[in-house]
Amino acid sequence: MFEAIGAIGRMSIILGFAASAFAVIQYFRGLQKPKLVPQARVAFHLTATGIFLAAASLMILIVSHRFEYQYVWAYSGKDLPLGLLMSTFYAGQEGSFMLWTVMVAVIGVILLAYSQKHQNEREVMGVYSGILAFLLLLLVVKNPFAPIEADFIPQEGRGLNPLLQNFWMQIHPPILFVGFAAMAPPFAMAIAAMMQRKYQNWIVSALPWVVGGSMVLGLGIALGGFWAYETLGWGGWWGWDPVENSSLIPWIISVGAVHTMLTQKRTKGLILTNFVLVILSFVLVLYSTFLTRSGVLGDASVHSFVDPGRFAFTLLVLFMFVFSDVGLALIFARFTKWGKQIMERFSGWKLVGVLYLIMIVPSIPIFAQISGDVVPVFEEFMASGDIFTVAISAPFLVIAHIMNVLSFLWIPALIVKAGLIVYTLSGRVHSTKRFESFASLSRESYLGWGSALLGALTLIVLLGTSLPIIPDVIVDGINGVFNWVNGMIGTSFALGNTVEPAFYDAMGLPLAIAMAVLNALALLLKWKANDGKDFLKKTYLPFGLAVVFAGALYFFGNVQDPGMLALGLSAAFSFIVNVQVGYKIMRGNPSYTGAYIAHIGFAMMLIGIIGSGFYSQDKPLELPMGISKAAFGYNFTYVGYEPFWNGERYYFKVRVDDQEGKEIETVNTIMFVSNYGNQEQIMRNPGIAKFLEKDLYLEPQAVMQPDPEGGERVTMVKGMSHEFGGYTVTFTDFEMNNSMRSENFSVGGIFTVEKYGEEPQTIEVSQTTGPEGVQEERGLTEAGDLEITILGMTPNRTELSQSTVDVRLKNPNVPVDPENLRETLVVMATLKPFISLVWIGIILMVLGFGVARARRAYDAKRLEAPSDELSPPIPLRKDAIAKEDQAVEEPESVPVNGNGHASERSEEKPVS
Amino acid sequence: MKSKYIIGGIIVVLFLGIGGYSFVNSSVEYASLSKAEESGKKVQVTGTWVKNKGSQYDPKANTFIFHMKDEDGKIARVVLEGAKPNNFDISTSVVAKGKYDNGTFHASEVLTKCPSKYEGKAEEHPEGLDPKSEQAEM
Repeated sequence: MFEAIGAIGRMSIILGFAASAFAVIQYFRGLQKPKLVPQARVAFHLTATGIFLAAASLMILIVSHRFEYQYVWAYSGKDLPLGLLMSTFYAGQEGSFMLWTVMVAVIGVILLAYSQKHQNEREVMGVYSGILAFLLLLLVVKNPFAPIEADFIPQEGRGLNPLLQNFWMQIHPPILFVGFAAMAPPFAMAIAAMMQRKYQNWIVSALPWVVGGSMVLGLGIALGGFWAYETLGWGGWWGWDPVENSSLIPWIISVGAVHTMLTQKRTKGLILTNFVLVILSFVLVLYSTFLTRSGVLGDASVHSFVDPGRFAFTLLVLFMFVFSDVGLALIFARFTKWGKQIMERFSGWKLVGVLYLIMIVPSIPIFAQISGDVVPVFEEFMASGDIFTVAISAPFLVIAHIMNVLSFLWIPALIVKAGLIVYTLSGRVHSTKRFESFASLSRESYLGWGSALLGALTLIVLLGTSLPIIPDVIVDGINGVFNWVNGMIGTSFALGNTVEPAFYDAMGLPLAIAMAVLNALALLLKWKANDGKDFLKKTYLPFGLAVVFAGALYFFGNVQDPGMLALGLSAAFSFIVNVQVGYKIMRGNPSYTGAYIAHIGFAMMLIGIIGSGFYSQDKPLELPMGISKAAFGYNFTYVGYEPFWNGERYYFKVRVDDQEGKEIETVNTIMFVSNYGNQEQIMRNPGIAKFLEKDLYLEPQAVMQPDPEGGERVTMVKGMSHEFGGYTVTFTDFEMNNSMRSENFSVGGIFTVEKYGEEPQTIEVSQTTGPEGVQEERGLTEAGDLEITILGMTPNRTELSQSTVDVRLKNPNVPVDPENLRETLVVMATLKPFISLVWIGIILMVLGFGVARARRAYDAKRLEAPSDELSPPIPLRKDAIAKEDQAVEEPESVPVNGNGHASERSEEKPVS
Repeated sequence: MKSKYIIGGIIVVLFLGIGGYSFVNSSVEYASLSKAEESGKKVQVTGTWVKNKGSQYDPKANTFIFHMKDEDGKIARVVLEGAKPNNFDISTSVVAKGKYDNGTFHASEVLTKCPSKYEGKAEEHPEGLDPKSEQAEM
């Protein structure tokens, strides 16, 4: 029965892929022949059904422990509780692609109904089916239903990495993937808008999706941070790790798009900007997936990845190239002079061909260079002998060979491509409502600048994250220039292969300061024209209050760093303005308060970052059981341990008292031995005492067992060294000299003891067991400050080199510390001021996005067509061109009811 | 209108300047242990933990000490400021960031690359298969 389920899953993926490809073709053919659309719709539903079936199959196999499937065996085990067992669905690469695909499909079903109401079903769903087709193709290659590569069925799976075995594993990845998937509909809508030449209305229909996507992706990222902080014990909630960054990048772009789209809704300007940002937010999700799933960041990230295989890697690269080039080609065709000339001269397939030549062909050598040599992959397929596979692989083998030849052209191709991108993006929309025409002192101008800052931040993170994959040729070239400069002016510049987190901190700080200030100023400004003096007057009160706050930080909070003070000042300024303006809006029309709530959250988060990120203090504490140690004005006492998780894990309890000795809280730090991967290792999770204004973060490091002799007990194999009291003690060899005539049995060891900068010494130590009992002959260094005693030995008969010896290392001059008589817990205690503001800030941001999404969904509803009639077929011909410039200027008629207008007005004048 | 461009231009140039400087300054090179010893700069070294030399955590100094072998086969003693990294024992390779000084590699950070945190098939990858081979071809 379970063989059938695996087969159903596999077939559903393959049929789903075929159906999605058919949907793409029929939707686009449907642009000219509307009667094909119902077929396309059926194909889309089949695709979605296939995906759901495949996902259900995989879930059934996981839950019923079918270890004859490689994926099930590799990530799950029988000992997992149901929730975690289900979360192994996405513990590996195949499953996480599957989860992403499922989320895209779910959203697609909703999008289908939505696009029908917004008269762009064919364009939107055509593009969207294309995205699904690529994802399904990835699943065809990275098959989650592959049988195990062994000739027997294991009784137990390999289990889930204990690091992932906690509550947030069940929450964070699915939400993050919904966020990733949610970047796809706005992309499809942007492409559709350019195809339809409707440059204004799409903003209104796409806004709820962009706002909603930003909300979910933001929530997913934040939950990852919370997970890292709360249970993984990475010390902080954000480490600028490449994997964290790669999901942050599309989020920032998407948030930027929310701002510029709102500006366009108001002013009809920023048309090109919005297309670019929305396309980027999707393409950057693909880039992010590429970075994190392709193994290219292997050495640069704490999240580790193994490369997915040559073929899947190539597909990922292709995925990214196809969708960014489609976006670029459409912008080129619509908004550039050459593009328009081409549109006038050609039509139909010829047009597509010419656009392909110009926009796609230069990408090919670059793509070939990045994806590398795929010939062996197809040669392997050809060798399989199966006629069907051979027939399909043969043309690809030829293509692979051609690609290998073309890849040598990658540098000139890159230059051409870069030139084309610059040309395309500098394309002019024939509109009088461009950014340049906005009044200097107007909300739209300031929103524009704010979005530019978000763009700059994206660039910073993108550049830093991508450095490890920038080809050596380019890095070496840059270093060549630096060497020349260094020689000239005596500096020592050199570009490395990866950047330190300090880079992001250094660059993010001025950007965050400027963003907060711009946010405050933008809200104090009205749309369009403003009176300068009037505006200045409005800033007095909030700015004055912010100065008071910064003063308090300086005098009472001991914040002296000018950068931090400036951040505090600007965050407080933004906070106060948002409270002030938001309160007025709330009394007028609460549905418009989303932005203010989100900005208040942002400002609070910035203040939280100052405290928790830059003013945290840490102190290692050795806590002998029952003896209090003081730190940060609290007393910490290790009070014992307690098993949980069926006795497999342990809480090491630390009582936190105030200075009078009154108990505040008992914190459970966690340590346990995991046997994952047949290797014993200690896993550690932090314990946190939470206060309103700070967290006391306790990371357990080790537990030391009592020893009345003092010193340290070590178990060593031959060749192993151990550091003690400034010495490196290496166990060189055993020395067995049992004389047969004696009744004594003796175990001896030779140790080399070395101090840096001193001659190494050899010390012989032995332990003799005889009728008189055990006699130890301790070894001593020349200086007499290290004593070695053999306590016992464990021979390993099968592998002699693995025999171990137990020794005690001790400095005899140091009296035995009475604390050594107790079990001692070592923790790293960290005081993190105001971290709760970070969480509250994030919750408010998510909430704000939620409120804004509801409002934008309401706006979009007013655009809905009364029936699901299709838009008129798009002429791919010249006659459309003449109308185009008008389309840019003239908004399509927006059916507005009286209500809507009234409420819009309240947003227009935030401060009266 | 022109002043807007001039001010904007100055800000952009300043930002690019500071950004570029900070970017280059905070970048760290991949290096071998010998190269690290030679340059004395902060670098990033990829290698493997020499298991039979053991590893230990010193609670007094809050340091974790182990030996690593880089890709050229050179072995160095590594002192990490902090506790033993999670997944250290099952790691297939470790990446240490830090400086070589007085015969010891002082690491500020050690990343463990384990076969299964997100990925499974450790067994299928022969030992010594370098994840960077992907990069080398790019």
